[in-house]
Amino acid sequence: MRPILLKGHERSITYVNYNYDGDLLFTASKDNVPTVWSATTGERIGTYNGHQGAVWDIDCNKFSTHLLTASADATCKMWNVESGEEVQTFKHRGPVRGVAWGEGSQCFATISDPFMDAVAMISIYDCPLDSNPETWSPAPRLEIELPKENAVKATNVVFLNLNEALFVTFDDGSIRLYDVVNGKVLNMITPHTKKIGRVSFNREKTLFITSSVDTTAKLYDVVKLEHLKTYKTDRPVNDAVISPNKEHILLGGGQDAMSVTTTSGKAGKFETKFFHLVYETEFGVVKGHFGPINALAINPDGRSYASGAEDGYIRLHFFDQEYVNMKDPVPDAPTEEAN
Amino acid sequence: MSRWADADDPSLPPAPYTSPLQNGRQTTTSYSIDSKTGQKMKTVKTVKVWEEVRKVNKRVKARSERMKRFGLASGEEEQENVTIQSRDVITIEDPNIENTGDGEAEDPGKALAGNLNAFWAKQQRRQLERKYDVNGEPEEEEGGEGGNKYVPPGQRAAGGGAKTSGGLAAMADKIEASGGGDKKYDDRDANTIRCTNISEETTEKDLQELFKDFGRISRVYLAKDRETMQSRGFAFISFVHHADAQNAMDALQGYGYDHLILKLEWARPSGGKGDAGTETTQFRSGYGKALAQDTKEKVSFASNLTTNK
Repeated sequence: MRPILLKGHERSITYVNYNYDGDLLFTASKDNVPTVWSATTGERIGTYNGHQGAVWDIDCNKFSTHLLTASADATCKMWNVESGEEVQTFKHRGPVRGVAWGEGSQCFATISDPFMDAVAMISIYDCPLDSNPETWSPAPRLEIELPKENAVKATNVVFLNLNEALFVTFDDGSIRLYDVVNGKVLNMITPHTKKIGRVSFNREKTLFITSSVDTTAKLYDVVKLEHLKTYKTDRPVNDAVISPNKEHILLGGGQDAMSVTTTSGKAGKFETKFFHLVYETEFGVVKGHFGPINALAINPDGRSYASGAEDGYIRLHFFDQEYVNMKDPVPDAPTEEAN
Repeated sequence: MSRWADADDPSLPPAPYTSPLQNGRQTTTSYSIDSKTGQKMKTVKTVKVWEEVRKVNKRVKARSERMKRFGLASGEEEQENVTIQSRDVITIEDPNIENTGDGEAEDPGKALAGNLNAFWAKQQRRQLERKYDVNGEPEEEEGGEGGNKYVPPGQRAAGGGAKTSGGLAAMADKIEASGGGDKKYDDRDANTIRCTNISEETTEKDLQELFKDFGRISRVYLAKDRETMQSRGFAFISFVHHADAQNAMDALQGYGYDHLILKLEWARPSGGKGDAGTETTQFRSGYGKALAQDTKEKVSFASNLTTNK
């Protein structure tokens, strides 16, 4: 395959994702301009201008009409996807790390970092899209303060169980489920020992995969929060996604951005790794980036994927027919491996 | 004859012909004249024509028609450098293939297995070689001057006398041969390859590894600097059989080894003094290293003086 290079961003890429239909690709970077691309041609369709700081997270609603962006300028903005106009700005007290639409696009949640004397916060906003944005309450419906003494930061937020629970990952390797009405912790697991960078769900929201700095990615069952599989690598994992039509996992990572310049380029480990979902074996590697991969996204049709890296490039890969037709190899029996 | 229109070849059809679509194939026949040779050329192009039905989501189609460029993307001139098709073809590589090269050192179990494999391979090869030698040597002896050749002990026993005495006799023969005539040396020179442009890191063992596949090697000599013991970038590899040497020469001429391109040539007969040429230059010149050393010493003296002052 000959990937398409998207060079619109001036700084390292923080987030890449497709919309639900798979025709648009949204990217966020540490420059202030979230961008939308055509997922088929790689053409730049538009940029959402208005943020003053790095953009950490993007979420597009299911019908691709409204886009939410979370920025380090302590705001979360809602945009009209097709025109690029700003619909509303939601002010926060600290940098906004993550944002997520609720099912049905009538509410959304954000997570913000501690800043000055403001503590880390999870906020839920109501935004009935059929009403005038002016009438929306600028204050959140619910605010969950994260305890200051632990000094944990939330890294991802997702609505689960038809908006009944809020799924939040933390930089101490834990995941908590919050009640969206009273903000109580419903459940908590600690899959990782270090920061969970990203979490991504399969299309049906039955499985999720966490990627962590502790060099592993773990696959969990959503309902039981049960650990299913672990994918081990030799590098911090920044993002992992589940293929929608194959039993494959794509892993992206690389060394810490800080240590890139101090180690040899050969050992960069900036590839996208392909793992088999069930056998946990690595069967493929795609090279190309010259910085650690920060974000990965696979098209909902499973025929292309995008990776964004610290080097500021987004590479849009369209799988060869060979990969699409590939039958998964069954690994050797474990007895052979023992020898 | 004089009219210019006659100059055109009447047999050349005026226009290319395209056949009607048949079984999804269309043939276009065109004629032209090669500008260099003046020969008539017939070009037949067969094109496969098929219809591809691509289904697009209604929402996606509507959106693609509706959406116009906005923000930074609305500036048309900027578009050129934003989206680029990569020039390199990127494939999904198999990581496990890579690991066999580097991974051996990391995984002791695998390394052991690898070593064992190599060991068995070596054993087998040795056995084969033994066989080969037993069968092969007498034939060569028939070729001429068999007396001067080294005969393996097994053969000698059959030739005459007890094993030990036979061995000794052969030893004596060998000594005689090497001392008496230069023939033995000439033979060896004929089977010796002079290999130049070797990287400094290459050791004799590496060379042995590289050349062993071509046949039995009698000697590998890597020229090293006397003082620093560093490789001087050339080596001599002597094969037992000339044919093997020839094969190696053909195969490894210009072979890229350790980022350098090997250059092979037959070792020049050096009149019994192997590669003494290197030594003679060292003694004779008196410059080169000796000079460098002297200057070094002087410099150090000088620096001492300055520091003392």
